[in-house]
Amino acid sequence: MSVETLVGGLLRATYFVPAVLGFCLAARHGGYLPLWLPQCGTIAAYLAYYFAERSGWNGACSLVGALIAGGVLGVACHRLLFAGHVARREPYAALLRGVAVSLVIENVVGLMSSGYALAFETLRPTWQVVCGWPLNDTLRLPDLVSLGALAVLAPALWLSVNHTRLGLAYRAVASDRDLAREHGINADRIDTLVIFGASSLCACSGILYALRYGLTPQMMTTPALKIVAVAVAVGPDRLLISATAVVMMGGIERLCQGIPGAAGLEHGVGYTVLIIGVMANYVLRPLWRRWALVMGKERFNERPVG
Amino acid sequence: MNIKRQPLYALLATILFVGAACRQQHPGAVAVGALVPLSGPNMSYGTACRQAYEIARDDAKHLGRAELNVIYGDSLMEVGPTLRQYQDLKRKVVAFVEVAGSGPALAVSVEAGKDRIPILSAIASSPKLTAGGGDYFFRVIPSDEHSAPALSDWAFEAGLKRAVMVFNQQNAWATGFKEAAVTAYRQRGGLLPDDAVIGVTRDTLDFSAAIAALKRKNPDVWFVGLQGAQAGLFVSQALDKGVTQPFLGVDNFDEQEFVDAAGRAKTQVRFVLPAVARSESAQRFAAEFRARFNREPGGLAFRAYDAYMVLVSAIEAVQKAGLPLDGAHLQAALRQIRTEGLTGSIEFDSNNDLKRAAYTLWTYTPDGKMIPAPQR
Repeated sequence: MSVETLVGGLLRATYFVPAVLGFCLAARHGGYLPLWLPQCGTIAAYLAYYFAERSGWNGACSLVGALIAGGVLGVACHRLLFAGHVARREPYAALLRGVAVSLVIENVVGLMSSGYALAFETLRPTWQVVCGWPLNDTLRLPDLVSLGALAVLAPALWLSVNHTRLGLAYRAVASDRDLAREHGINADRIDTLVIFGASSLCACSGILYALRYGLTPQMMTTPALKIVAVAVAVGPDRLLISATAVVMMGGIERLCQGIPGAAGLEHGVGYTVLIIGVMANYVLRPLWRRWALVMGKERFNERPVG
Repeated sequence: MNIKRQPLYALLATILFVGAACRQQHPGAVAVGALVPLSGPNMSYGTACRQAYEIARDDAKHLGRAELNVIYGDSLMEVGPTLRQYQDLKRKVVAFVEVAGSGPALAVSVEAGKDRIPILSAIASSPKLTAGGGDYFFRVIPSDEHSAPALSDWAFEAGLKRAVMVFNQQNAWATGFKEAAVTAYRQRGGLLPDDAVIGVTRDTLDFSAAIAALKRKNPDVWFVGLQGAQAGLFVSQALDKGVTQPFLGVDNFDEQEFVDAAGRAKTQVRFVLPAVARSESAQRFAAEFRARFNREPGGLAFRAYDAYMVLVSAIEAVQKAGLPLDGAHLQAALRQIRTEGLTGSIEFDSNNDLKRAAYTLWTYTPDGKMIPAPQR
């Protein structure tokens, strides 16, 4: 266990920050767990590979094209398969359909790539800087972009959700779609905007992750489960805490990996921490509130009258 | 989905499945099974085998040799699904040209021994299969019991006396390789303590913590018990963290996915393969593979081709002798096999493992070409 391990773990976990932000946005908006959404990252990463490596597109064009395509695909998927469930408030049916969509995407991508792992050749990041203590590692462009996402994207998104008119409309639709419509908010437009943004964020995560670790059809499957776990444990309405939680989880996982004998528990420890998070959020917090309420009442009753 | 359309979709799916099944039938061909992963995270193994069999079938046809009808079962390279698929196929085939994965092969070989169905494998290299594979399990891949000592010999002769190891603890091949390598290296006097061996999981893609922990041991050499892209990512990340020592492996480095993922770190690997690993016929096969599938064949494709041809030879031997084509006669024929494959001469010892004389140490050039490694 060392500072190097912890810092390295925290840094690498930032790759999931855009995805967890996108997931939380969509989860709060739709009132269900969009398990399929991280797979937009898989598709975007494969599209980036196709554009850059097979079609010979320019690197920047490939990445932007894949990002936009990821967003558009997310919107299309939502409109075709999930919008009805969201309108009818059927979170369990939507979740099940999301599982099915994830599996279909994973298998279709697997079939199309014959299951082979792929790696970017022309898009492989060439820029790098050797970093000394405490990281003792080589930083590449995707590392910096994902760090930037944590530093800029998370606060910016939090601000826009909580302190802008568009954010107000988003919260209104997320809270009660029919009431929001009655107050003149165009819920369909908010739907499109939110899902496009959320899918693009997931696409961003997928592309960054693929640039660093290569492409496999299952590349977002394990991360997706962690993202869901964070969203459930922390609550999808807490964007900043979700982003921090996913990074902390990465740190804990890497600390575990560095200990011989405990490395196999790497993923298990992350989930254990999340179970504690769920208990704290959904069991202990309400208990604490109830207790605080009771105590407050008693104190109020004890106050001398007059 | 409109509920009225559902029967239509079901009918369409059924037609597709039946069509696919009918396409597999070759009249007059001998039915053999292949339990390989056709989906899931290990799918690339199944794809490589299927592609190699396709070329082998065409070559056999061109040479007027026996034709095999390969019936596939999706094993996912896991014990449970492999056993289920074996039970489904065992009455339809005379032998299995592949049971992918050391763990599944160990489990199936017990059943195959009882059912008297020969199994060949181009993937399972665990030393446990030498004794545990039984009389009906053959393999065209050298056991790690032979390759790990060859690797340790090289390391020790090169003065690399302090080692560390990383391996996938959820993979039967990797655990077998770990045991074989640790035993061989320690027997030669090398220092490889238990706390210098770190196990990771099959989902691990970032190894920064394991590399940092192992780097603190100041090793002369790193044993890598990971496969394919995962092995490539490990050596690439180790290089990023300033590791300059060589990485040692066996056939796990002989895969295109490894080369793609390793990037410039591939020149730092050393791995042992049988001395005659790339014959002229192997080069012809590689050219055909590239032309058909638009990618470089990995080591598995060569071995899968060899497994197919070995089975063809055994079937022909039984047919020529006028004996009934059953498991017992096929097993006896396989034991008599002496042939030149793409990966060198193929002959089985008393444990049905490959008889191998010498190993060569290999590495990669910066452009990904496999070359004999310079001796230190």
